[in-house]
Amino acid sequence: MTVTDDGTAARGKCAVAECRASVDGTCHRAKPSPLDCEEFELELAGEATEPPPPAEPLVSLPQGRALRPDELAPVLRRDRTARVVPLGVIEAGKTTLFCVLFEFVTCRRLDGWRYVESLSTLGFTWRGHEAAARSNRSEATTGRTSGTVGNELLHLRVRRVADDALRSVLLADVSGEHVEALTTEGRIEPFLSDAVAVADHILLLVDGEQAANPATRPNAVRHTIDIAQVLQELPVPEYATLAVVLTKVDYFPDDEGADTVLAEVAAAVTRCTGAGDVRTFAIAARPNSGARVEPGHGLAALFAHVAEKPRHAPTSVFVLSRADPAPTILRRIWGSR
Amino acid sequence: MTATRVCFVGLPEAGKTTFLAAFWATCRHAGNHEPTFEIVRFPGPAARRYLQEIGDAWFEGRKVGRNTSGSWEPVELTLRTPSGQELDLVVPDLSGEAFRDVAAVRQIEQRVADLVAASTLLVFFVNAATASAHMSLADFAPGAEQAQRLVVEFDAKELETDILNAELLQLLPMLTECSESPPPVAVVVSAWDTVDSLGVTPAQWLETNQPMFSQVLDEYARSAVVTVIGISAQGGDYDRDHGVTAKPPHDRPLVVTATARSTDIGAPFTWFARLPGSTDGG
Repeated sequence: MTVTDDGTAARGKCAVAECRASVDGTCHRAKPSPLDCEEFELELAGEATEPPPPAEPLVSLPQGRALRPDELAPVLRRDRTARVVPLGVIEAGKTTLFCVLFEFVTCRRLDGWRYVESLSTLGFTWRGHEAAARSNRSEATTGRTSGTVGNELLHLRVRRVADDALRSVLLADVSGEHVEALTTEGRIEPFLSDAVAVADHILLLVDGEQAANPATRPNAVRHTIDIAQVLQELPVPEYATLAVVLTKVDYFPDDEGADTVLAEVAAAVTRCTGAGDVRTFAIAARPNSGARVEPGHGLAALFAHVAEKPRHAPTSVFVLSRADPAPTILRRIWGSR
Repeated sequence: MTATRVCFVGLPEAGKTTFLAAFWATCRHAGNHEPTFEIVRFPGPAARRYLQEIGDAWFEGRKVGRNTSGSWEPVELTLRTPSGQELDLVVPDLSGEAFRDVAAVRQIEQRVADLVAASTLLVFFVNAATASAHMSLADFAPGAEQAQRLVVEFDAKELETDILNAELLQLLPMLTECSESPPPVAVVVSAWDTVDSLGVTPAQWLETNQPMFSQVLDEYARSAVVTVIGISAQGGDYDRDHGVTAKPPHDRPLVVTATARSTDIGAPFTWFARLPGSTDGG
């Protein structure tokens, strides 16, 4: 070992004959002075290995999956949240709509909106995975929400680029089987009824694949009108908006055919529900290859509609203490408006 | 003066180990350079031995392996900046599995949670070479060939790094004392040499290639100071760029910010040390 006058090891004077840590004849190895490499290796070899780790207690975090109705408090406490209830028969395209909406927001592909957070990211990604896997297993079929795995809500919090406003939406994943049970047997599943009872936006889905085919079009239209009719048996809030959403619009050869179907269904929905303003949307979340429309067609317009601030004012509950002076109480009430 | 606690965060293979190896090696042997950081408190024996192993591997131009020392202790050391500020550097989980579990399994070991909670700076690693973003269902038509790879059981641990990192960053503030005012974050885009030729800044690269994470980072920046730094601790690909290992250690790293290029591997700490108020513990 070569030690300089001040007690530190001299660089480039390593005692090891073939020091691997040498560049241009200078040892750069990161070792504590004043050791040379040989002594340093001995020092390292003498150090003890730590014992195996003991079992560690774990801290649980929010689960990130789709939310059950009894898990909504953290969402509702924080924001005025728009509750969206898409209703459609089996294979109408709800699951694909949810997944592509999430994917487009998170990938900066939904014009006008930026992703903020989701309390159900794993719920979205699981549904997307299942939809992709199923579509590969059975040709041209997207995943769907069965009665056993649906009945949950998916959360999305976004920011509108135009004015930086925050918006939260809860998408009710109502099983198509439950919708069909309602229209065919009149059986009302509690989740469906509860979701509709607090809905801000109800979307009546028309399966575009069926509606584009002249042979199956009457059925597709009738299914949606059936749903609109049974809505009268459900506790739909007065403030809830109704919209007709034509999914898989890529199956139509042109816009005209799609517009005709939308106009027909919207007119029927207006007649049977008495709703004054039924908006219509044509979307293609996941068009077939070579389709005339781009992936995600129509999603931005639909999302702008459902992400609007809810029309209703939630009931305010003020917890007051005796110590609160009157001005403070008034300020809190005024500030909540 | 109280020490500031810096915590390394990142998924497996995010670049934490290689960064630490380069940082350790350059700190401990300044060569002809003025040392930027001085190590004033060393980690325990097992962690120290491991640091030396990876520092040696880095020096010799070998790929730095994962922690095989059997050590379970977090790597903890104290640095002193040129201005005299002390930074307690903590790497609670070099393997990154604990952080992946935060995002995928929604659990974290208490000891790791405690270390994160006590931090005044998070250094968050994202590997440019292995980063993956989610492919939308919309981009492959039903029955298309691309869907073949998806016919496996869903496993959140296998999600793309964009989603896992976004979730991790979203969840980390919940571990801190006040989630409304989380600690500053320095995002290190590691393996920057693999994307340097694109001619974009590290933040722009994140925006394009990790869009979900980048948006969550934008939101985070509304309540805390954030920076994005591209760092190649190796300085290049050892297999292709043989000149890298011939360079003196201090000249190897490639460090890129929005406005400058350098070889200052300690850039995340330098950035933090210059923040107003950072000298009193953040």
